[in-house]
Amino acid sequence: MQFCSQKFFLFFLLIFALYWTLPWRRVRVLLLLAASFYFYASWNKWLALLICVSTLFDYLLALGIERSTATWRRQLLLCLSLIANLGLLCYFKYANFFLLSLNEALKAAGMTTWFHTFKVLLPVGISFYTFEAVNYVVDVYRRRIKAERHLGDFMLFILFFPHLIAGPIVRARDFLPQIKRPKRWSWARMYLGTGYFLMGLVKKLAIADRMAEYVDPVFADPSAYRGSAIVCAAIAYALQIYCDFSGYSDMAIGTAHMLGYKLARNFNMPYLAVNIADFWHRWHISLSNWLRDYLFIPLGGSRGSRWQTTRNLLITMTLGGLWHGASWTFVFWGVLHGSLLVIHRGFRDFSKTRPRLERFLGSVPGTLLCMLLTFTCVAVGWVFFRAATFETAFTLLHRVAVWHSGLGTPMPRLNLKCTLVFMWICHAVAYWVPWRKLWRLPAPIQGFAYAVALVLAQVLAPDAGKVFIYFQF
Amino acid sequence: MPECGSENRSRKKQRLAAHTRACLLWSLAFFAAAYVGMLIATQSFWPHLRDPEFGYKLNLLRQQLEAEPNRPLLVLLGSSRTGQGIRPGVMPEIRTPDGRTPTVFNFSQVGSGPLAELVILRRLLDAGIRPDWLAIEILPALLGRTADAFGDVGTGISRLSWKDVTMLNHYVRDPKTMRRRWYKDQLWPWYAQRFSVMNHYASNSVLWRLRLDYWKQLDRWGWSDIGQDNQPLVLNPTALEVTRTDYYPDLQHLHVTSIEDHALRDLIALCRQEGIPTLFYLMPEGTIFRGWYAPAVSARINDYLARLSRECGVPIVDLREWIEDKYFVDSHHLYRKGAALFSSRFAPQVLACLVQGRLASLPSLITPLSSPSSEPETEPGAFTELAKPPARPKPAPLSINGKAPPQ
Repeated sequence: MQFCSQKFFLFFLLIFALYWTLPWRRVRVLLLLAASFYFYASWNKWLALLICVSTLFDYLLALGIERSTATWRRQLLLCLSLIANLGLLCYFKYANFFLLSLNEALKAAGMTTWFHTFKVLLPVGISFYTFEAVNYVVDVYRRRIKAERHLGDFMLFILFFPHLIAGPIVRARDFLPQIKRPKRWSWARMYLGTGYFLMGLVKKLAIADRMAEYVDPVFADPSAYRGSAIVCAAIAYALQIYCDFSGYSDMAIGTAHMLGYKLARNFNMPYLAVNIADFWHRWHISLSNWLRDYLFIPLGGSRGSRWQTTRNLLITMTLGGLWHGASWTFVFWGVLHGSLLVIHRGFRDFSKTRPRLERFLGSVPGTLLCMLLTFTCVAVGWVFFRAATFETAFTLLHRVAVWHSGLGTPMPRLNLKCTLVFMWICHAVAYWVPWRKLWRLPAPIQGFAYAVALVLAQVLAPDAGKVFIYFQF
Repeated sequence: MPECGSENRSRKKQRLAAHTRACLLWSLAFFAAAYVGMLIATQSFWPHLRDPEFGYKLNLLRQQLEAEPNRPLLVLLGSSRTGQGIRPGVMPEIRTPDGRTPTVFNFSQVGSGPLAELVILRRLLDAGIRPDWLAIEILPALLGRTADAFGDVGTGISRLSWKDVTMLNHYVRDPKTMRRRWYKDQLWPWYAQRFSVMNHYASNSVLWRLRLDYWKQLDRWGWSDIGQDNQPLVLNPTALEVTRTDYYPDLQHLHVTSIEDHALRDLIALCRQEGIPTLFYLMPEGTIFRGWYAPAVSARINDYLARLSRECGVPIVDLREWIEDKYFVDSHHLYRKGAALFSSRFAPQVLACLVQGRLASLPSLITPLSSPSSEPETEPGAFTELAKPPARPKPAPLSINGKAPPQ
């Protein structure tokens, strides 16, 4: 069940109506829990049971950690939880990848191989809920939060359907207190939630899925297309993945708001980033923060020597790349971003000692140049992210670098140009016009804008709904 | 002071609540208006947003009738073969016995078989347009399908009006599914009609394979004005392959389905009821296309058409061999030159007979309307085949859903 499907619309309408009709907080939590279970089970009921079992396990272990006074026991329970969570993630997501890689390596070394791959179905959103469970247990271990006593509340934290499949990765310390708080109907919140949902719907249906029409054929057969078509496909993919993922996040935030919950913001106009570090402060913020708090800082962060910081950055980003998918192209993408972060740190230190360079970078042309450069680096990275193999990625880059003739864009370029202009206008409005001013616009104008957004999302939807890209992670 | 501050805050909150409530209600009102507006528009005065092909042609036809209100009207119904292959604009003038020149209008629609033709004729009559004559194409390959342009529950459903659905209930195999899908489309009319809307207003931003705006390139008489006059006459291998994929499998095992048979007979009955003189014709096909018919299928189609012609007393003209191979794009659609050539022959030899009431003198009749000796046989076509009873295989009974009953 996708957020942009008619089925979800009817499902949400029913849950929404029931939720606000029921006056009891506990019953509301149970309703949301049942709805979330149904939502997940609509993909696979067995995997829905699996997530319930693993959640129950974390619930018990966290209680155990809190009650234990002996450090060794607390550490043991933490390790058990990490092994269970990351073990499941590894089994479902990475076992076949590592086995196949090992097989290939052994074959390349001239040895016979005997590994067989597993027949497993990847649970949707496993990477997201695993990280949520880990942050909860680690925070309990660090005594930053108290273990949740009520099983239903804890399960809702993990299973809450708006963020279950593709985030944002929710922190227990932000979400659990919200479950306890009594919810009151708020028009402002409904309006905000509807706005987020519509924005996400437009991003997904009117932009991301349309951009896919430029991308999919080119990445499927890169040698058939000429350089300009590949450049268009790369730009279109940058737009597609942003609108797809941030669209999902917006819809998740919107639906959560409509049910009285607040989820963390996940994107902040990432393509306006002036450097790669800035990009990671704006892109998939909940993941960046998670990686920072639970991986980069425990590794030592940037407190050590330059070499240690470089190592920590590379490890964090490589694992971040691997988190996205079980493929060497994702690993390479992570390494690429890690390297870019290292280069950026070096350049930052270099420019600090050169005031003229610093002044230029702070000027409008300098900022624009930085944005363009950052966007180009990110777009090149997306080529590896999207390509199924290295061969495909290098073919694409080669055909751009060394001009080749071939097919043009799979769809008239006008669409891409219009989308780029539309995105620029939206970013400019979001950047320059304060939200408060927009909120003060007369009600009929705002109402009209909402209705237009809903109609536009429907009219611009492509022929077949595409699954959200981040569902596969 | 603190009391004053909290009072201010609560007043602000109330204002915000009132404003956001108003915004939401306005958005609901606007959306409801857009929703109802789209529903009404597509079901009534903007048919081109529901079924662009029909809507565009209807507008053109109305313009023609307004321009020359006193001329009688001859309407051609058929598939894309007719759409591309018959150019009323270059036809030699034909006259009625009382010396009037009829307006000939090509009202074909892509993928039309008998079912779609029946729907279109009903729509024309509902729109207050009653043709004086009708020439209707029979595309043999579609006789074996359980759905054509309008009967296809999967793709054609959003083009239907409520009246069409009511009518098609009697024909389609699964009327329940058809109705359910149609209601679902009405629940989201903007979504259901998105391709029509996009093709109408922003066709340049539509994916090539979803482009449906070729009917924007119609001439005044409904002919699909595509290609160029000086186009080299070369068989297009890609188009031929698409045609082969679409038709070859059907032509190996085709049985006339009860749905199409039912629709064809009802179409004839409707014409009769309305008092519209009608003839049926088979459009030209290239040698390659004709070679795709399995012999048994070919015989089955000929037998079926002969029987239909005899039983219903309608002339069916077989023009499949009228045009040389070089004039075909893909062995069944004609180039502009081919269309001009075919039209220049079709008008005086076929349409003239219809408007002058000389049906017995039609060429290439599948079944003679009078004694065979009196027929001026310019093209032997299928008629000679039918004229040899011993060689003709036993007529296959009509089948239901493509399955032949046991012999």
